[in-house]
Amino acid sequence: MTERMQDFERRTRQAFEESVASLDGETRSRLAHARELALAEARRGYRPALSTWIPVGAAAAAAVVAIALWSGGETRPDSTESTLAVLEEFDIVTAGDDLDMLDEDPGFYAWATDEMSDGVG
Amino acid sequence: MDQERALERFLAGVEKRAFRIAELSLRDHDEAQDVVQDAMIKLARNYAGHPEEQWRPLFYRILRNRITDYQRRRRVRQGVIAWWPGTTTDHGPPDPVESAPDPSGTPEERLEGEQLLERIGRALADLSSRQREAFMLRNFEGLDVAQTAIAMGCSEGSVKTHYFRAVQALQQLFGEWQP
Repeated sequence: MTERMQDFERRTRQAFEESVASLDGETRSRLAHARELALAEARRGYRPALSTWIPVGAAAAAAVVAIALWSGGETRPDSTESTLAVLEEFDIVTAGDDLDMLDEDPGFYAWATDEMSDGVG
Repeated sequence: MDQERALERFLAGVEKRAFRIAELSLRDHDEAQDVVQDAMIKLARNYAGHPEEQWRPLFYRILRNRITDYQRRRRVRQGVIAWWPGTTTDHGPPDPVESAPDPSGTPEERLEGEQLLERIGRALADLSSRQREAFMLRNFEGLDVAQTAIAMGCSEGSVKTHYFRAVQALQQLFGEWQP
């Protein structure tokens, strides 16, 4: 990086900082309101209401019943392993937060998978 | 409660800068406010429980994707408007409230700052989207290479390449505009 480039970076950064500092009152107020909305959303996440847990509990109970019916009540040597596998899948499905990242940029995950494959090979 | 206060501090510290970045990308004041609001809400809803040091790259990643969505929608909308007979892309006369002067700073200072930012915005518009993102995240927002890579969803090597090319291209464009 040459001195001229560094000077260019500094000047453009300064112009940006000045534009941030001179933001008008109406825009600042709207951004503060947006922040309040976001914090209210976070509060809902920190203290989940009982109503949010009822469907989750019902789904968990249904999954346990489904697993029991699917295994037919028989004791097979691999039944524990199978049950664990199903529970793991169920856990993945209910862990919506992490999967939500996939919405953001599927291309990135394709790239990451390729990189990992290259590393293994 | 500590986490909530930390999130509030984070959002208060990032919102104005994020707005300017969105505005430079979209070249539209209202759309920039909308995408920043969307990004803040999404971060709070989905990632408030994540470690604090992850918030910045995650927030800018969400913001970047929202900006891309808006640009995509705008292209579709403009395509439809251009196709529909008797319509125009003109938005009508300017809103007198929106075009009213900003009360901060002297008129000369505001004009100088606005002109420079306008020039930066025009120059950024000539870059590829990846170069523009790399330049704004690294130079304006101060993210390091690793954080920028997370925000852009690419490798650190790509960030370095895009950033270097962006600075070169901008320097050239700015050089041409020097009085």
